[in-house]
Amino acid sequence: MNTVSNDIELADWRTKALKLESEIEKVIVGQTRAIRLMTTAIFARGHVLLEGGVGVGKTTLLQSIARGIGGAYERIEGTVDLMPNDIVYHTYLNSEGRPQIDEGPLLRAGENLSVFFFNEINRARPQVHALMLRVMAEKHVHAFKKDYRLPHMVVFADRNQVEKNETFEIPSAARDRFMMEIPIVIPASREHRKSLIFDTRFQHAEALTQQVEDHILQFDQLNQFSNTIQHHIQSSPVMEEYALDLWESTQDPAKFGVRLEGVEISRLVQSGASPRGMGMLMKAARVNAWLNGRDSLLPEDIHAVFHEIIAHRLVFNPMYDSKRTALARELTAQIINTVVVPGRH
Amino acid sequence: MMKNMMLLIGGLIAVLGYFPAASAADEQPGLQIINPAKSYGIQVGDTLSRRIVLDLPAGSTIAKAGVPLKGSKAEGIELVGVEVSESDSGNGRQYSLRLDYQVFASSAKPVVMRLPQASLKMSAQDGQESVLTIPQWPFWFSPLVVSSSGKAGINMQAQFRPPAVEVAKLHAWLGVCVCLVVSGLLALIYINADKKWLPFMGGAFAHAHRRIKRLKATPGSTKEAFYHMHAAFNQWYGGNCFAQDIDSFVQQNPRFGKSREDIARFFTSSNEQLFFGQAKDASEVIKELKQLSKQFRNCERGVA
Repeated sequence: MNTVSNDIELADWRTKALKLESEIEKVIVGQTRAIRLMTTAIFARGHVLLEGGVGVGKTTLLQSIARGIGGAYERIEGTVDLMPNDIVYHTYLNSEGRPQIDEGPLLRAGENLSVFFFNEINRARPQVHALMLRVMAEKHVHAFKKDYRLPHMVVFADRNQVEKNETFEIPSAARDRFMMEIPIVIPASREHRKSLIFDTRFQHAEALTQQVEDHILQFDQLNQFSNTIQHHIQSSPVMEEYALDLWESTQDPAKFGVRLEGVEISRLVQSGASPRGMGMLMKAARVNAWLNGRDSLLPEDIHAVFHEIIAHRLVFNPMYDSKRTALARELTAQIINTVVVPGRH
Repeated sequence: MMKNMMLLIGGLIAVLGYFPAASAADEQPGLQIINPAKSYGIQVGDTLSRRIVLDLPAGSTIAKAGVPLKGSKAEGIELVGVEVSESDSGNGRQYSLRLDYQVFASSAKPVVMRLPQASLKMSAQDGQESVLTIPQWPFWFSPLVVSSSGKAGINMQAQFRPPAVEVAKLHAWLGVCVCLVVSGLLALIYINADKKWLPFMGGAFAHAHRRIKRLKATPGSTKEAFYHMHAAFNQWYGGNCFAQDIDSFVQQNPRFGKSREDIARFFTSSNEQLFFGQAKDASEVIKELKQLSKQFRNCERGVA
């Protein structure tokens, strides 16, 4: 592909990506940042953990996205008795009274599956997590004596952070498979809140989702185009040094002068970002640069996704784990505020 | 002869009766005593001279052994010189006697000392001898120091003025050294001054400007120059300052408000150089950063 057609393709896809955002923003109010992060994850081909309370619009948001990017949308609820095979197949008695086995939500759409929503993933048992995480990594599963390929699937999983009964914490190795953990919070704006409770169009989620223009993107071309973005966006040596400093600062924040009030910083972090996590950080940062119409990375591109990509990967000393959400946010903010660019290398 | 002798003795008795009013003795015919002009402020080591002029009738002489002996001492005052001369005077002879005394006595306070009484042996023509007594002469001794003679050594001064050292060149060097010291001190104050007590000095952009001024235009130096500039922005901002933070930077530091456009220009230039790979000529970049850092330094000092 020559440069001109490459540029046209990039511009064309960017227009579509911005249109997708604007379409979703028509039905989901007060979530501009979350929508940008999810767009980034879609183009970076990363799986997403959603963080937020109940009834904030996560399902509507995901259904809107699925409609915008095309392909199939599947969903499963995490429960304490959910077993791995419930994801792969389900059994029932057919009209003839004979037992029948059909593909479960993961396999039902085959290669057309574009968005898989695992609601309350931490209510499911670790065996279920293990299967999901394997599928997320390998994008295929063996069932019914054949391989099911899921090349276009992006997993969105929601964690119930409020209740602790009958939940299974997702281990750090499993969290690391998710590119981002995106907070979906109740909009802060009073106008937005007023709309959500008084505007009747928000009363019917399904009808609301139908307002989003469908097939804005071609879900089956996203993998290829994602590679195009990654090859197109350049990073300078200064930027590479900066990314390395950021990585090191997640492992040893004290070395970079990062301070947190009331926290012994040298004992806070047990394990910083993984190489996979840093790779995902740069992947998402490149997408952010492209969405902002640039062909080179800026520090701002990393900042735009840093917290959402790094925070859930950090493993804290158990004495600080009870406050991990707040501490992780504070730590990532301090790292961005403290690690200088250009550094003295 | 006897008559002459009687006259001489009578004259001498008259003189002795008159003493210590030396000036009165001077008026006696035949005997004149000239004492030192100053009878005060005499210090240890001073020499005092008395001159005695004596007219004797013809045939009378002063025996050589009849004059005071040189080296004789009395109460710390030593006769250090005796000089006798004679000449004709009418019918008789005139003897002139000079006695030099040196004061070796000392005292911690002013006291009255005396030149000792002296005797002159004279012999008449008929061989009769007589003694003429020269009376004491009192004077005020002044100590060299008021309280202790032990300090005299300290207070002694050279009798000869030492040769003067040529100091014109030294003065010139002294001037140069003083200038260097003063300018060095000023430079140290300028570099290390705390903003709290020198609000116009030692600022982040002043520091950056100094560092950038020293840089030579090489490809590596542009990154260092940007590093210094960003460090100054970060210091003023209290954290990392990026292009999207310009508005809050200016809001937080209104003294940079007038240079907002130039701040934006700097961040654009920084992005181009450091992240977009649009490398300009190093000398141009350093020149631009010198100018910008100077401008921001002036903002920092409130003089822009």
